Amino acid sequence: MALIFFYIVTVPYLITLFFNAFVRVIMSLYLVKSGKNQPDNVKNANLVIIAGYFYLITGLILNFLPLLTFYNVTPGEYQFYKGYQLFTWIFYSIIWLVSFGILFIIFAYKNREIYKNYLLTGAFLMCVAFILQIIVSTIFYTLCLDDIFYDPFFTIEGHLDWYIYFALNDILLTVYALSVAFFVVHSKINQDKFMLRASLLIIVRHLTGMFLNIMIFLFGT
Amino acid sequence: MSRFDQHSSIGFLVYYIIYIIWTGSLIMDDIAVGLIIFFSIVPDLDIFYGARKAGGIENLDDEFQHHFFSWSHYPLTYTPFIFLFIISLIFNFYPTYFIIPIIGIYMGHFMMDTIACGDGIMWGKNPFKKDRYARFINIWCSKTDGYHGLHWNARYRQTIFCKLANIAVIISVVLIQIFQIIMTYRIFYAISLLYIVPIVYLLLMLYFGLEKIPEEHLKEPLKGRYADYRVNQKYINGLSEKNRKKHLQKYSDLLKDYKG
Repeated sequence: MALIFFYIVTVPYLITLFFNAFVRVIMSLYLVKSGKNQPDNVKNANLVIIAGYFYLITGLILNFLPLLTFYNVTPGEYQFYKGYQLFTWIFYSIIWLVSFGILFIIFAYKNREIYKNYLLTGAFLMCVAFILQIIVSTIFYTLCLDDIFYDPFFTIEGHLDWYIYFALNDILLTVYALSVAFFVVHSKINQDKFMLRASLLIIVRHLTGMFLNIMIFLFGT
Repeated sequence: MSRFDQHSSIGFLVYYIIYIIWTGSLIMDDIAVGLIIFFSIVPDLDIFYGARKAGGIENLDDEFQHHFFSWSHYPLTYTPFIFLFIISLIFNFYPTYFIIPIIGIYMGHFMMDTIACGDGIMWGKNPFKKDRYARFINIWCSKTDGYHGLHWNARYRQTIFCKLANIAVIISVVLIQIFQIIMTYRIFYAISLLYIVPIVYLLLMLYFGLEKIPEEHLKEPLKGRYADYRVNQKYINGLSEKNRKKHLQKYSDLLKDYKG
């Protein structure tokens, strides 16, 4: 038995899958609406609309990519598994990097006089967070996973790669949370109710995700 | 001193020293971090009540002098926390947690509000006697006393205390981030919101605190400086005989001008 691609195994996983897809669609629609409802003096509002559609299409593709797991794999299959997992994480990071990062940086920069620096800071931090995410995923799938794979009695103590992995992962979480906070602040101060809802949905999604992860942990994938 | 993030970080740093001495551990757990950050701003939560009454936080102006009128800013209000701590100490029931409200409220908040503030703190005010007041204590306040709201904030931000407190905020953020990393490593990927939320809150408030000061806030207030308890008849009448004498003597010029 080797690699297994699978979609649906348990109810909690199914709920997670469709919940994520649902939230992605709603978030995208709010972004599109926000773009369409920008005041007349705002430049390049179409960038927000593009961000919304980009996030919708790529997010849904990512959402329904099959999960991959393995059992008694050959070294070649193991390498394929690592490559596939790394690809999904990089794909995920690029979606956020483009939609909530680069596009918003350009938009916010062109409208600095109207929107001050909150959105610009938030988008910049989002870029930092997802560049860190790519680095962290690369460290995990090229170094850390090997430790577990080749040594069943492995403990993380004394392994520098794990120290770096945890440190960067925690910093990226902080930067990401701060970035979302700036999106909320921008929306609140500039009374952009659609952007506010999209930003709050990010928070709701993560909080619900934490709860669902506990359920999956308890009842299995 | 009176900014949310600064209160929290000073409370956190004071508690951190006590925590190290008491427990011998350099890593503070997430519950303690969350509690100390929260309790250090507890007296200021009346701002949200005031904002609700005023129809929005942007409507709170120089008239909102909560150090004078709000029971949440009377230190004696929080004495039950001292009794709770003593009981927890006697029964050895999480005393390191029960000391948090005391450190947060008294050291993180009231001690800071006694420095470079607009009013200072009435340390001796009995919260159960409505019209009886104590003297305000406000030290190192030559640039800030008598100013309130955004006028106070604009001046306070130019003081050395504000700059030192900003450094305290940055140190707190770095420490909490280190705690988070070490705890995640120890408990293997158990990320706690009680670390992340305080960091985000401190950094966000620091960001607001470093924004450019609007010119109009640096101008003199419409009602002038010291339009506060110093010339408030209700406050003066509520002082004890001895304190009233001291007050009238100290602010005799001001009171003369005010009446004139």
